[in-house]
Parts: sequence; structure tokens; C-alpha cells
Amino acid sequence: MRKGKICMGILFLGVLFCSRLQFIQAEEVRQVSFEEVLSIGNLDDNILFQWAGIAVDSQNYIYVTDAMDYCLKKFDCQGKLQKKVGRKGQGPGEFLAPRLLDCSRAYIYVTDQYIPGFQVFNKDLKFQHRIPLRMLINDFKVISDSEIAVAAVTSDQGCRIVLINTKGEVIRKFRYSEKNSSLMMNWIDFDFDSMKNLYIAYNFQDKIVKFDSQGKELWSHSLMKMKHVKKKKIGSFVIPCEIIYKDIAVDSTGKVYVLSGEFSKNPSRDVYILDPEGKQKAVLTLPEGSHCIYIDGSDFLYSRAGDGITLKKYRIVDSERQAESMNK
Amino acid sequence: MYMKQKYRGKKLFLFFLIMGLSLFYGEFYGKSLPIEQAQLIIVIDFNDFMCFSCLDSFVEFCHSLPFHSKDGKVCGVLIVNDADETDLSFKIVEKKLRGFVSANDIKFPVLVDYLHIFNTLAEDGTVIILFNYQEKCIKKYLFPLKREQKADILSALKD
Repeated sequence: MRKGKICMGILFLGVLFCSRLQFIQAEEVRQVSFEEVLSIGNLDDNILFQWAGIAVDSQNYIYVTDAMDYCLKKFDCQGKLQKKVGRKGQGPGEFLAPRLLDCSRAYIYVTDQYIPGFQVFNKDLKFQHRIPLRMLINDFKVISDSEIAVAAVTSDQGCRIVLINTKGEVIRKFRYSEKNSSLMMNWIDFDFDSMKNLYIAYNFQDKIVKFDSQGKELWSHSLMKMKHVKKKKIGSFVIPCEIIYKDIAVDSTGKVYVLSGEFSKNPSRDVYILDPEGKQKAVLTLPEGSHCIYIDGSDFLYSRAGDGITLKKYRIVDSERQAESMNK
Repeated sequence: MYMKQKYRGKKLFLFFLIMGLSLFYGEFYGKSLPIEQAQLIIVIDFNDFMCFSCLDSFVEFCHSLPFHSKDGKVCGVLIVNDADETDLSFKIVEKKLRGFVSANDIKFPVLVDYLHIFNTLAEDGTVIILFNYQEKCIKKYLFPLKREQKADILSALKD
């Protein structure tokens, strides 16, 4: 009889603890709102057809690659097209499939899916030179005009970010995982914070990792609780066919934004916001699915709409941040 | 006499009507549908153009066509995903098509297949359907085209 009462008591406390835990989690992971501040491209104009990559410079000029018309485009902060360059081809300033881009103080660096290396343009979109690179580029970030960090796809499936100079020479290599994975499983997107900490989101693994500037792993998290993704055989290759994380970006306060893939409640729309310690703080749900997210120096968030014919810019309305500033 | 005059107007009307119709149909069928000449329908699936060799082969083939779009020998059909059938998604596809046609300098007309009539034809990817009236056959070619396939098509069109 007494044992029964004790068991019931423990059970009751257990239920109470679990519900409290759930309550705490629900309280902490909140929905963040946002407001649209700019929209570039609509159904009737000929400004954007399928934008692929975006970068914003310190003067708030927006640079975009357009895969459909093989162009690099520059917009002012009002969204007015300032200039566009490029056409289909493999010559200087030409593209076959323009993709990623990033900018330094003076230059814009653009990749092409089918042409290895970078094309470098000045801020007037005048072609400057090419940076040769034998590896295919999965993601990159310009650290300075003499250093570019590149997540390269290598034939040995090695998990490396390489630091290259303007000649395309490898200065340093950083191995972000000790084990070599099968084809595409080690593909990543990455970003740095202001302290040069490195944040990595795996595209086909449920894994987000932070390293310090010395390369020491600080934490690793799984947001989706996924163990495996589906794979399919194409010819002799077995490749993953479900994407878990599409992109990662860090804002000026060190908050980490992770764009979900196919496994979140709102696929390609949910953006998980983590604090610098990797704790999930909030979720932001974009109105439309996007292939990437970008956060500029003023912490505005950019994403895709209309299947690539529109670029949206949002101000993130973080109630927690507003309350903090009100208290101050 | 009275009867003759009565029907004269109607006869004249019928004469001009028949002449007009024969001229109209003669013009229409005689020029726009020259059934002795080969015709092409290119069924385009944008998804294929993620593959560079398919896109390149397609664009190169389009540029090698030796005639003007007004000849009516070639027509493109863009298939759309039947999962998304909203007005907005169709308009987005139309805009992308506009950009694609302009950037790749495609000279023949391309229509969007809103009713998915051609989807089954393009199950394996972007294809060319060749109506060869001289050889009395219809042929199907998949992109990327082989050199001899391209030569076959172009020679059928020239004949």
C-alpha cells in the first residue's frame, strides 16, 4: 500500500516535471515577427528572373546574381537597378550559371556553377580578373581582399574549408570533420561572426557546429532530430536527396540564423534563431520558401520570393531585443 | 427575266463568297502549313537546364536553326509542374520564360503548356518532336543531342 503511494507520488512528480519542461521550452522558443522593408522584382518588370546569390556592401548597395539571364546586378538601397553586366559565355565578365557572391570593401567576388574559381568585379561591376581554383565551390566568404574562405567540394570527400589568396593559392586548410563522408554528405554552408568564430550548417546532416577562431569545436547541435536522409542512386553514385539545412547566417550581435530544408514544419521557410551558445531562442517563418538567407551589416534579412523573381528585405522585429532597449 | 434578275444578286454573292473562301484557305494552308516540309516541336522542361550539357546543347541547337521564326516550322512548348496550378505560379513561369528567351536569343515562339498536354512527352527531359512528312514519320530526340541527330533534324528541315 505504502509502496503504491510512493510510486504514485513519483509518477505525479514525473508528469509535473515533464509538463514544466515542455512549458519552459515552449516559453523560450518563440516566434519572431518581421516587417518587409523592400521588395525588388515583380511579375511585370524585367529586373529579376531567378536570382541566385546576394551580397550587400557597407554602403547598402545590393548585388545579385541572376541565373536566368546570366547577369550580375547592382541595386541601390531603394531597390532601383543601378547597373547590370554579363551574358551567356565563358569570357571575362560572362557566365554560364552565376551563383554565389560576396563583397569586400573594394570588390565583388562571383562564382559560376560550371566555371571553377571566382570572377572579380569592382563596385561599378567592371570585370577585374579571375581567381583560378580547381575545386568546386559549395560556399564561400570573403574575409578580406587577400583572404577568401572556401568550402570546397573535393574528390576525396574531405571536410575542409580552405583559405585562399587572390591568386587562388591555398594559404591554410581547416578540417571541420575528422571522418570522410559519402558523396555530398559533408556539404556545408558557413558564416563567421565578428570574433571570427565559424558556424557550419550541414546540408544533408542534422548538424550545426560552432568552432572558435583557433579551430576548436565549441558546440554541435541537431535541431531536427534526424538520423538519416533518403538517398537515391544516379548511375553509379548514391546521393542524398533531402536537404536538412539550406543556409546559415550570423548577425552583428552573434545570433545565428539557420534556414531549414525539407524537415521543418514550414519547409524552406522556417529560420531557426540560435544564440551564440547554440541555444534555440526563436523561429522566424518566411512568407515564401527560399533557397538562401542573407543578413547585411545592419541586420536586415534578405530572402527569396516568387520562386526567384523577387528579392525581399525584412527588418526582424525581436520583442526581446526591443524590451531590453526599452529597459535601458 | 424577273427571276434571273432576282437571283443574280445572290449568285454574285455566292461567287464572291466561294472565291473569298478559297483564296483565304489557299493562303492559310498554302503558306502557314506547308505539309511537305518538316516541322519541329521542342518540348522544354526548365528542370533539365540544371544540367549544363543539356542547356548548352539546347541553346546551340536553337541558334543553328537556319530560318526565321515566321516560317512556322518550329514551335517551343514549355511544360510546367502540375503540382502548382495557381494563376500566380503561371505568371511566374511566363516571366522566367521571357527572361530565358531573351537571354538565350531564342527566335521561335514558345508557349507555356498550362493544360499539361505535353508533360508525358517530356517525361525523360527536354525533347524535340520532328514531323518529317517526306519520310512519313515522327521522330523524338532527347537533349543533349548527338552530332548526327542534330544533322538529321537540320537536314529534314532544309529539305
